Amino acid sequence: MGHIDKIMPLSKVKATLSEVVRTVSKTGAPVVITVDGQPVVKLVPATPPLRQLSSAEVAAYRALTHALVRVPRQVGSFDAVTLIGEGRR
Amino acid sequence: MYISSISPLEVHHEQALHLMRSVPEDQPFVVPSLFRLEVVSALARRGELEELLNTVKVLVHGPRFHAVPLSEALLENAQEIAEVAGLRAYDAVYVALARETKARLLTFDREVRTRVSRHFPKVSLGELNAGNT
Repeated sequence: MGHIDKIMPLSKVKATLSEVVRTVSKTGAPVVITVDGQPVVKLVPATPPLRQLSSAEVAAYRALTHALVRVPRQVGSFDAVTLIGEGRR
Repeated sequence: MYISSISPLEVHHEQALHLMRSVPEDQPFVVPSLFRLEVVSALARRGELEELLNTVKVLVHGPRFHAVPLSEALLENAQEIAEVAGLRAYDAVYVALARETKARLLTFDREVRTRVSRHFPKVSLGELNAGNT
């Protein structure tokens, strides 16, 4: 789900920085900071907030996962724990 | 876990499906950003076809997997966990993430489950199928 970037002048960000940081962190919506009316910096959360998937996203995930069943695979059983472990050597 | 769930020939497949399905479909799996690399790398090493790899890449980059960057804080937490519980580095990163986000840790790796239960009882483990250990 996309966000429309909020635009704020630097002077306003300076006056309300703590609140701006809390809002960006909570909502995930970036804030574009302008200087002399020009966008120069974008404030984004270090980690996007967790969110529920939309019904369209759930359907897409389900369809793609189902599509995997029809893709040809290497034959023979294997142990994923061992496979991952080998990749970490 | 994820590789097992999408691989019918993997020995823990049914168990992995059970664990994956324990999470509602509209809830994302929280994973370290490293997860995508590990999944694709493992499937490529097994020699799976490009078609499979391409589909899996789309899936693991999608919204069902909430990838968290390997920040300094996460790595420090993982280091402490590795030291206390004697876990391997990569396993400690997954445990650290579960601990930080208060998410359930989905793994059937017996050693990880035992060490986490013993040293970090507040970390919740996904329940395995009855009869499977």
